[in-house]
Amino acid sequence: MKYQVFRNYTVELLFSKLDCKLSDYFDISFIDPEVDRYIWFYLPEISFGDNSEEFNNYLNMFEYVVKNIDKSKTIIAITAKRLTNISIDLINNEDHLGSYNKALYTISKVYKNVKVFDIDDFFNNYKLQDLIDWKYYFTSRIIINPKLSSAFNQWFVENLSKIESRKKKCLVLDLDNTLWGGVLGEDGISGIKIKGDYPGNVFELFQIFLLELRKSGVMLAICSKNNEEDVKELFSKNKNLILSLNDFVDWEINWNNKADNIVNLSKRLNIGLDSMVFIDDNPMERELVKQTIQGITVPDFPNDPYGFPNLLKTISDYFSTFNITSEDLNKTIQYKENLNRIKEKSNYSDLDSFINNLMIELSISEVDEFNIDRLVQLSQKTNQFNLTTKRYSKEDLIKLRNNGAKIFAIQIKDKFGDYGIVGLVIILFDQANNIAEIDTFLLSCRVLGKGVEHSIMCCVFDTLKLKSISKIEAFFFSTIKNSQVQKFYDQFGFDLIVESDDMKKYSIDIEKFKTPKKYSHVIKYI
Amino acid sequence: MKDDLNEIFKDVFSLDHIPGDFKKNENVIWDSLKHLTLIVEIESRFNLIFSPEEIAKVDSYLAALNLVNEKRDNVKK
Repeated sequence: MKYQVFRNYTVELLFSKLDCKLSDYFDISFIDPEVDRYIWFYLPEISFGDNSEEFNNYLNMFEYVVKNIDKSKTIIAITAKRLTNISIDLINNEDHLGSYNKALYTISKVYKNVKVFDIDDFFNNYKLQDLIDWKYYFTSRIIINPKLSSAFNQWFVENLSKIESRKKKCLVLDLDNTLWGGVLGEDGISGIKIKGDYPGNVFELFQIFLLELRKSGVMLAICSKNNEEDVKELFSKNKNLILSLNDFVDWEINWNNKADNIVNLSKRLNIGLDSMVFIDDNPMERELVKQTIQGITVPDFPNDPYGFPNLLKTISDYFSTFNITSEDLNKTIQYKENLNRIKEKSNYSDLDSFINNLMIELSISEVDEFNIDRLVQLSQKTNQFNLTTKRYSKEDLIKLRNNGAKIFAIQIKDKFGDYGIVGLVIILFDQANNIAEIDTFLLSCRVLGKGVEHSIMCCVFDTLKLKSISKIEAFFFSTIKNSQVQKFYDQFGFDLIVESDDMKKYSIDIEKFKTPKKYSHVIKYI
Repeated sequence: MKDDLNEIFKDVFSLDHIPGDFKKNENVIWDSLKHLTLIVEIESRFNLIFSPEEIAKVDSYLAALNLVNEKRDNVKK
């Protein structure tokens, strides 16, 4: 099972038990069609004021992802939580967070493939001050204390298994001492225990529970050793019963082997034996069914009637609360209206409008004493979006500049915030022949998926035109990390002129440059 | 202590054997994520807290060994 995680923090350690691909921070541009499931995990930024806009953005992004994934694939949304109580306007912030979480649930009612995991379920085991280790927050953008990683992994995997077992459709019930107290054949129509004092009140509660389960779309069936006529008489005469015979889709009430009866039920109802759950107070019957019918689920039965709530919990875990049935359709329509109210703000119909909506601003400046340390760091550390992966020291950069190279620092902002300097481009010149070479082109993975590389290329070409360059050469050097950019230059109209296993050389006449996409990024030259 | 540290390295990098001169720069598998996992494991196992500067200094098996020894000595004092 492969997963793709959409996230805004470093969460790799939290999902290390899964086969996962991580999106870039805040990036929804690439939805991997190859994975089996998706995970949506956004946590609030550390902020001290109104963050309604932030949650609105996350919600828009989430909806965009939900709309654009294959509807047959599950997306698991994890609710958000504030992990710190440093706040000036706590009440309002909590409100926005609450609406965001509520909206996740609302969306999950409309889209069957959306499941919501409540993160409080995990965090309730810990004290607030243990949730963040600020050292890792500031050094690695890790918001959940890495010491909690293995517990988180375990919590998440346990929840997954609940989803998986929630594919049951039919609950097959024994009658005597299961649906009511006592034995019909011995105690008679009025002698069985239902309602009133203990243990009748337990069976009453069980039947109320079963009725709700039936209303939610679960099929109820009976498999009991009794005389069918006696049972029919009981259902028509005993007014204390909550359930009526009409609440059951089918029954096998006879003295035959229960395993054979269950197989008959599954054939008539046309459902798999693995989608059935069998409840019986008799351990011998349970054992027989468990051993002869492969795939059927047979939970333990409480030793005493007052232990029933545990059984109810087990049953409720088996049967989906996610699946929508026809009875639920009215509810669904209400939910949909609600959702539209929550979502008055614009939806992203496509990725380009999403990007244009981000209000991205690029500031391009040349290397100077204030940005050079950051540029060296980028050159040393950037692996993925790095065409040549040349590692330069401060001295190297100064030397390059003194020899006439243009070294550009690219700073990026969008409505989520300022990413700082995240790009480096180095151009070398052979002025005598009017040729320029792109020596370095790299971007930090924090800003991928926003189309900024296209805008940067446009800027580079605009600059070179002013310098009466006619031809531009560029290289791609392959490393184990940078395969995502192996076709980078092809999309701008470059010609591939030399290719070997680990290197490609490109060339282009400056007028032939084309950009595959034009975004409404604001560009500033400083 | 040395054995414990060796175990952590073996677990984190999924290797059967950690050479004495195991270095960050010479092993592509030692990426930033593995680095983080390694530090978190060492901190938990030896009940130590590394400063961000110390975390950056752990660039080889030997550096980790020396740092753990040094920090544990400080604790004893």
